Amino acid sequence: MRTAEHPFTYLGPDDAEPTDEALAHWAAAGNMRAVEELYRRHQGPVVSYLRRLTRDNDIAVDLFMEAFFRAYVNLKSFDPHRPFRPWLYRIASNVGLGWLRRHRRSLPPAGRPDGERPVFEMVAERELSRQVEEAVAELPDDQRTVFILRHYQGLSCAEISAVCGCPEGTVRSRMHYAVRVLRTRLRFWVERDDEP
Amino acid sequence: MIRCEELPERAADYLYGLLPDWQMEEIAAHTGRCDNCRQAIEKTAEDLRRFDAWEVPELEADTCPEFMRRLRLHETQELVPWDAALEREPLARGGPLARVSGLIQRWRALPTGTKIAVSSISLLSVALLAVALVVVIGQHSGRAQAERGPRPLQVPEAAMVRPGLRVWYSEGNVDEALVGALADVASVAKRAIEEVFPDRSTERINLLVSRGYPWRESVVTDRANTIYVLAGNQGIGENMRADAGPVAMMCEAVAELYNSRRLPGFERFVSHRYLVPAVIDEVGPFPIQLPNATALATDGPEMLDLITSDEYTLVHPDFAAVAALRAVEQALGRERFAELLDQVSPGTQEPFAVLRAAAIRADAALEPVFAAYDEATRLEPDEEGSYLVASFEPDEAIQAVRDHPLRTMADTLSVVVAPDVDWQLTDEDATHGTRSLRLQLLRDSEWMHANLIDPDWQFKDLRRFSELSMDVRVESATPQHVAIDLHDEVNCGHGLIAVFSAEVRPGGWQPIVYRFDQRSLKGRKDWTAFYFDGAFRPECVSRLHIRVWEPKLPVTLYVDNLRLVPRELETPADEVAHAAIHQPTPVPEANLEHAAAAEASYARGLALKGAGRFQEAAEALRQALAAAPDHAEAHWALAWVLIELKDQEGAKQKFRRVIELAPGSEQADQAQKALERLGG
Repeated sequence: MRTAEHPFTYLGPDDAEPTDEALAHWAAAGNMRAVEELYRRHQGPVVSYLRRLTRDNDIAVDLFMEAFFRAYVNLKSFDPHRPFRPWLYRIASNVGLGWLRRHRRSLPPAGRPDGERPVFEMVAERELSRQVEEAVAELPDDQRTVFILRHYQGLSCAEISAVCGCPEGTVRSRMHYAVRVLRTRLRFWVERDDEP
Repeated sequence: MIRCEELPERAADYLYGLLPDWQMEEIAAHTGRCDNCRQAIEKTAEDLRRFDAWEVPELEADTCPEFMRRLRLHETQELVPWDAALEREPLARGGPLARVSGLIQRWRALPTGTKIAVSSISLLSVALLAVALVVVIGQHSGRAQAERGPRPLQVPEAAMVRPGLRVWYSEGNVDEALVGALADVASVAKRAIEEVFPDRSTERINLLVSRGYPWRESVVTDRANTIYVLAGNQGIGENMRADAGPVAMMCEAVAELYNSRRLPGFERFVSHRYLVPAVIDEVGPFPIQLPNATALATDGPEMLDLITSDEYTLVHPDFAAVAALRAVEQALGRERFAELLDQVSPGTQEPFAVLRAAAIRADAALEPVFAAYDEATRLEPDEEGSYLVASFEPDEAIQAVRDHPLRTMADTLSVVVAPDVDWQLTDEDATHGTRSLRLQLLRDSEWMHANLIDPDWQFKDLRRFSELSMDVRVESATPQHVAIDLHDEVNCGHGLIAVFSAEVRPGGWQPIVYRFDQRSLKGRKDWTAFYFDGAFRPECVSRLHIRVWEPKLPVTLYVDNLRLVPRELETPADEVAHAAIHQPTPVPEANLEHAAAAEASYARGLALKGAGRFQEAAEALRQALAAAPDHAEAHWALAWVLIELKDQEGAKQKFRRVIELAPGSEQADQAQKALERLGG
């Protein structure tokens, strides 16, 4: 077993599961191994989040790096008594939504007329996936963010509240209406699937 | 008790865990014994699982090595853009820490001789400047003191409710309970600032409250010029007014731009929002100067220099902010500016809407100026920002509004209606944007009773709030408008303070802040506004009764910020809020200070409860009860806090006390029901 020269020195991932907040504390003190560990812990989920937010698999990785960089330069002011994950998601949301805003006009439209829908080449499951993706993409930014964070990322209402900077009541409201709209929009597929 | 027909509507919320605990438990229990409902839940769950069909690929490779490489590159080569592919504006290059570390590295790289020479010159310059500054300030303050006398700021003991927060108030015209409530707002603002600007120091926040002239227009009547929260110890340029509302955030964004000197020509910008108390005496009154204000809003950058000159220090801060924002927008480009704003208020264009509303209220002529801010997605280019549907029949007018093709995009719904309207807004009328509903009476008609049911709130079950009513007495001979605004700030963060402002035109703003208290209403003749302090949360208002007596001229009632809020908001927490306003606790004159301490503790308890810190909330509420044992609202709030803490016996005791203290009230009814649910 390795011994640390200082009780707060982080030695690396072999140490017994330090919390994100402890890692952030060490990272703020200049420990680059803690930075790496934080990065590796969060890159999977947050990239997945950004991929759903931007619908661009490649740019999401770049955006995560950008978000993590912003987090890194602000680590000194991060309060380790508060949860790290919502803080990082908040930054990622800002970066992702900022990118979307700059590129929204150049992105493909979210929906397609029925006449353009491919009839034979897609299996129903794939088509449902596309329908969900497009329906989510059509939600207003604030609702979409909340829905993705809750449904796909599994964040709690309290965490989403911290990410979005709004009260939990607002989070619940956004989620409620997002789900309602999505269920309405996807009813066609749901009903078709229900057919014998 | 949940009913079978209500369950499908709540099934998805239940599955996502969005409902309050007690409703979750109720539904769980209900589905345990009701097969139909259980099947409905299962069907909904099946629906929700279909969302999982949208999968995104897993991360293909660990990008950490690449990230660390870029990080090292960035830190060792100052000013190398973090990622050229992502950066489009010099504003976003690096971060403050990176810049500082780069400068330090450059310094280290200098030869020792150069370092010594530069250090000596710098020290000498700083010393000379300091001496000059001391001399100038000494002369200046001496003169100011002689001309104006001592500053009227006082710091009451009751205001020192929490560490790190100093409340200043002047003119002795603000009661301690109000100060306590404002202190809570400030603490929320502090938290918001810390979250949004994590690198900003908020160790000390000074809250300036003043109700006397010249700040009369600037007291707690409006989000745009309400509460001055000034972060100390940072110099004038970095001080700001912040109330955690969008306007404050927006101003903060502007301040960020100025203070970091990223835009040429903006370094000297100072508006009243950024003044520290020490310079308030220097500023003096700032009456709304409409011609100048219009010019500011119209000309933007050209007027910025004037803002900083002496003659324009009197401009209303709203317009200074407008001018500043326009200048920044022009300098940065619309998209980049919107992006910056979104960084402080993610995912919303609300700052624009709020700013525009504030400015247009002050000067209707500004409406065309702000038309430029209308997003193409919100309004058709050739349509106006609002539209008017007129009818003599209320039902017809309402239907016309609902049928109008632009209704979901309009900023304002204007409806001219006959007297005695009972306007019941529904889901159809609500949007997620900021919008106003304007009901206008016909000329020479009397509006005896108008019920506005805001869709923000729970409108399904009105019984709980049916007794909340407000009366607007218009005694002036020239009232044109009576505006009652539900401000967004109160329902999206503070949770403790609601401001109802009234406007009487012509003659500009005449807002007077007042606590909602029946005793007080009777004694005042000139009031035009309401102030609910302490526990009131407008998100639990489902119905407003507004009565206007003898309005001989057209009277318009506004309800701002119609927003959708899920029905489950009508929860015990809302009952707390309602109960608190339902029967305001009388404050014995002889024991005002004691009561103020109780109110402050009570307000703090509610804030902690709202933040989910129930243990601390219980302590604060117990403190309130120690100071005021008959404080029914505190008993009521503590009861629900104890429920959260799983102390059912304690909660029962508190509910019984509520019934004792407020017999026959709706609050007592609710307490009785709660007792029955708790089995005792």
